[in-house]
Amino acid sequence: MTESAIPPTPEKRQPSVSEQVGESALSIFQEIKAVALLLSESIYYSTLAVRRPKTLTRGSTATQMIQLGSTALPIVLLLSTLIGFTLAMQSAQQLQKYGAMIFLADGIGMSMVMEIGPILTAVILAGRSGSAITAEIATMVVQEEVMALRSMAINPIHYLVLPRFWALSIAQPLLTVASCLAGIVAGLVVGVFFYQLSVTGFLTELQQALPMRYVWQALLKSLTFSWLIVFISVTKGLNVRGGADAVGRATTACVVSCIFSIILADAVFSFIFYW
Amino acid sequence: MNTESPLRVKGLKAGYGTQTVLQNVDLEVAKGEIRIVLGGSGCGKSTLLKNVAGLEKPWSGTIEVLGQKLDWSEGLPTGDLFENMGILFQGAALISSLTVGENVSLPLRIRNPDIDPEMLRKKVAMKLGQVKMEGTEDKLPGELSGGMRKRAGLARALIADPKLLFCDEPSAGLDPVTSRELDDLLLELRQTLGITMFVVTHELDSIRALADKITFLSGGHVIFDGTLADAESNGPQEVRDFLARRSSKGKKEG
Repeated sequence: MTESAIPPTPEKRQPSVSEQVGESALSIFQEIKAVALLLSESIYYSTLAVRRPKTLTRGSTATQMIQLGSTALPIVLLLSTLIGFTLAMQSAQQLQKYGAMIFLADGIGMSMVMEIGPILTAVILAGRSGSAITAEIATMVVQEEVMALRSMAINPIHYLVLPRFWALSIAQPLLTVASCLAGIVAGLVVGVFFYQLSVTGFLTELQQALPMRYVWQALLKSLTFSWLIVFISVTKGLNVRGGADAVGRATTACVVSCIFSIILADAVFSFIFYW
Repeated sequence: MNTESPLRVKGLKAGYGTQTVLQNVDLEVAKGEIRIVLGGSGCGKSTLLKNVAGLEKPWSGTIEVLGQKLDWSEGLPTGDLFENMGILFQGAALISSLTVGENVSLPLRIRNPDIDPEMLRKKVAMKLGQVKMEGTEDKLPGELSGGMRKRAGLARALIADPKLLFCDEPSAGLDPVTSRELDDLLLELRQTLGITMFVVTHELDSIRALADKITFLSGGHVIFDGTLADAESNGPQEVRDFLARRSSKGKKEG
């Protein structure tokens, strides 16, 4: 074949701005649809598993709780303590000016329970557990392991998603409680050792400032955040196409999407709870 | 038409996105037969396997596996169908977090959570023995060589005593000796268990060792369906060139 006989490659038309916006909107819509489908399937199979517990893979939920939850405890405790300490030091500076040091308990308690505890735990788990879920499932997709599960009449949702769904649904609220306690204890330490507050005074003030309603709200928030992390990370993992580079891209996209969704959901919760 | 045919495909059209990969594929595999699907890279061999094994949804056409039409109306076909067939994937596709024993027993454990652990252990040992992998139950897939992974994958595919076995490039990535051993193993399994096999490969040595019949794909179409001897003597030029390891590109252009 001579060179002149090679047909010219048709020039690829660049999509217009409106087309790009449309494509992005469509892809976001499809992703939301995939997450919603996964949520409905998980709830369906969870209900089924409650009725027939033997259908759950033995030990896998506990393994996931250890992998995704327990191992995150030290970092959650450390960061929450440091943030509680920082918040307490900064707040105390201002409160001292007005002689209102006792309100340190109110400030630390409310900010840790209403906002920092749930959000900080969710962000840590999104970066740690969300990325791990995406990387693991994406690698399984690339290595045809997910297809192998289907070929053995094993529903990948049942096998891969349910243990992670249950594990994070239990572990994340517990980690949130631990985070709130660590932050409050750090505030207490600052109040007692640096500003001569009494332990009893701090705890009495905390109890008055923090009705149980706030604790339930924090737990509800953390449960919602855990579902967002599981479903976004699983969707990103299952939808991966290509090789090792695609696994890396999916993992990064998972962390970004999880954190964005968590902050968005937090804003929605603030609107619902405090408007 | 053979009424006992374990695999029947009619007018199959399949692809990805807007790209058509397979067009108007018809084929029928007889009971106990080893059917080899071959063709050059990108001709649609693996897509055909995934479609006939019910792992990907075809665009159109009908696929009948073990007398049961694949039904995609409620998503991926599941249940009974998969209990009677096994698939050996190209990279074995063992679950990397599970040991060899757990991988092999997985289909039975999931389908029957009440299964007696002792019986399961014996069955796993028996299947690993059939593929010459005795005593490897506690090893992780990462600790196995490519050939051993393929054998473990084969043991998993055989654990539920399937009637139909799909193999995707069984010799890919293996040295000639290991590849030959795997071919011998497949022949032995057919002889002892009478399993029908649908094997996708482009390894000529494997084709010669295994094939009862071949289906040659080119550009997504079946261009030859028959015995290897027929293909070599009366098949289309492209098929004869492929089997003789010749490039047919120059000839066509010439």
